[in-house]
Amino acid sequence: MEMLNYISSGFSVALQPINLLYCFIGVFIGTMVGVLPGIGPVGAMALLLPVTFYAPATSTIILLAGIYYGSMYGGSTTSILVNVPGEATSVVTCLEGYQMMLKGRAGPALGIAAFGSFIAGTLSLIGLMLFAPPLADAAIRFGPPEYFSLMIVGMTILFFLASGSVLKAIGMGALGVILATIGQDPVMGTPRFTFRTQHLLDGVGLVPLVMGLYGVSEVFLNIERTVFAKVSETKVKGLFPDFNDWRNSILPILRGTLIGFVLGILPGAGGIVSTFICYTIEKKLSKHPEQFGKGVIEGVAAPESTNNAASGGAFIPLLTLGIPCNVVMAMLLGALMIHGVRPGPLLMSEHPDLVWGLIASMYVGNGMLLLLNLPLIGLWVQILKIPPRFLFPFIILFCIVGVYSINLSAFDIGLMVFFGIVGYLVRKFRYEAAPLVLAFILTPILESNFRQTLIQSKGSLFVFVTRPISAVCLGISALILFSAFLPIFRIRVRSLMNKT
Amino acid sequence: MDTSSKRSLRDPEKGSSFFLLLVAFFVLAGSVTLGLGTFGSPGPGFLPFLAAGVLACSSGIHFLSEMFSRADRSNKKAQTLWAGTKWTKVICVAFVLILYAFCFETAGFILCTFLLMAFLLLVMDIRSAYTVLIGSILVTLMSYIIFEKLLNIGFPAGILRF
Repeated sequence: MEMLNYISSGFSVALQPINLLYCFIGVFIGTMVGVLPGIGPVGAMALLLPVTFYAPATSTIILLAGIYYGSMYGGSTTSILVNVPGEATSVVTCLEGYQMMLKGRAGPALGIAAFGSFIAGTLSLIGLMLFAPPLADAAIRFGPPEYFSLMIVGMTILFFLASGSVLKAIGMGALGVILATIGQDPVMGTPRFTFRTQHLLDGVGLVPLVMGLYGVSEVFLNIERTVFAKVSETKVKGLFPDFNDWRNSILPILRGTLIGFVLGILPGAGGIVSTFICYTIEKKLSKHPEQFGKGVIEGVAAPESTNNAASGGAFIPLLTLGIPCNVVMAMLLGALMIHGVRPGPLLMSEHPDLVWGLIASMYVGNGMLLLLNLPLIGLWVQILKIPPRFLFPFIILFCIVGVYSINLSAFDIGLMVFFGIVGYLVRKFRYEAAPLVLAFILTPILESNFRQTLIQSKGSLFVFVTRPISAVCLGISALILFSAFLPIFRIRVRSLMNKT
Repeated sequence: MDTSSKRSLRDPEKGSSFFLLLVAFFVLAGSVTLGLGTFGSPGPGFLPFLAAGVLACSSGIHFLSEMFSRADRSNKKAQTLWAGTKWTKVICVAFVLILYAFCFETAGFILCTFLLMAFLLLVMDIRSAYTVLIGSILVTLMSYIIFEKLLNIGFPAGILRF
């Protein structure tokens, strides 16, 4: 009964005209960035972060979340029509989607991707509603040591964000912590690493950092490219899948929803990993596995449902514990903090309008996306044909205006360009920016709770292991660390055994 | 195997980890200067010191493991990361953007943005001078009207005085 009250109050928030508008803008931009290869949801969220400063916290989160799940829908269009994933989680969709397009079945592929995404997105929201409140209730008795240990869990999650070297991810995370300590010390007010400039006394802003690392660096990486993908001239027709298509797709959609939701809760690249797992499972379960790779509709329905369900699941750790399990959630966390909302166990009780308004808006947004992605598919195909060379100057201009509008400081533009160069080099040298951003966002909470705990406990570190919740969190961190390094140890042991 | 290339910092893995090691040492020294404090009363340099320690360890281990790796890395030089790319364009754009940030408050939004847009369109291989000129004027004016006149952001007027 209480849940129904929350849902109805959530819908009363989500259906306010201003929130409907923000939701529509979010899912529209999300679909657009999903369609356009290059700038992903994180880049788009970074670009729009300054705009949200003028909006209420609830509308901001509705907008940013809309970009996230909207990009999951849009990513399939590029994968199917151009064989280039518009978004990282749509990589698997290329395998079957593009083959279907070559067979003249682009319409049903796009259609099942949209319907599958809608079904999975809606079901994952039901899961979010059922699992989030009990978890938040359990986490309500948190003090500074528990918060610190929770942030340590968040920090160790960055090992899972590493798609390559774990050592590199740790390095990037440490760099994120160092960058976050620039500015005045929160306890004593001493300037730290400000290089005697007034501009750095307030620290490095989140917006110049993420706009540089994701927006400007993306433009740099695209400028140096010599070849861009071309859109197929094939006309898209027959968007509604027929009975056979539905019969083949419905079980993969449901399986994809379950796998995506569960893996989406787990830290790291849950969305990406789950699409690969789901595709493999469908291939194993299929009566005609030899057809996979030649354009089967199950190979589109399953991964597209999975990535949308994963996006719903990813909200659970953020809304209940304040832990972002991927960089998109870290951006949402940053946006909440900018608006003075402290995410964590108390979020659901202190800001029920925000949490339930967001959940309800996701239902509304999923409906909007279905309408945007089916009747308006022609529009997205046209957008896909815009030459990137016309797009990049606009992205740069948008970054400049966005970053300048926050503090009216040209220094921030310079800072953004600096981080753009850093982001470009980071990616060229195969490092990853995600752990850096995650650590940068979590550090202020971590530092204040760590120092508060040490002052209260008179310097005793045992407080972190004698309090049960804190000890459990640290145990989980140790497990995460162990599991991150386990594959490396295995490889080393195997190579040693081979030598002997 | 070419020993000189194996030991060389031109290898992107070794070069980047060595650079991060230097950053870590710089931060370690800075943190000590700031004051580490005690466990009972941590100083301003406490957390940066810990983070720099982690950075030094991770980059140091990475550097050493690459240094003593037995894999053939003779063809893995930093130059290969930029082979076949238009990297000079990236340097030009980065330089112009830094220049833009420096001149923004003195020269003003309109003049700086017009020049930047014209440059970016040229970099993007748009050959027609007419398109570049009209495109940059339109983008500058549109952005000025939207962000300055409608949203009141407050761009610097600069030498054009508006």
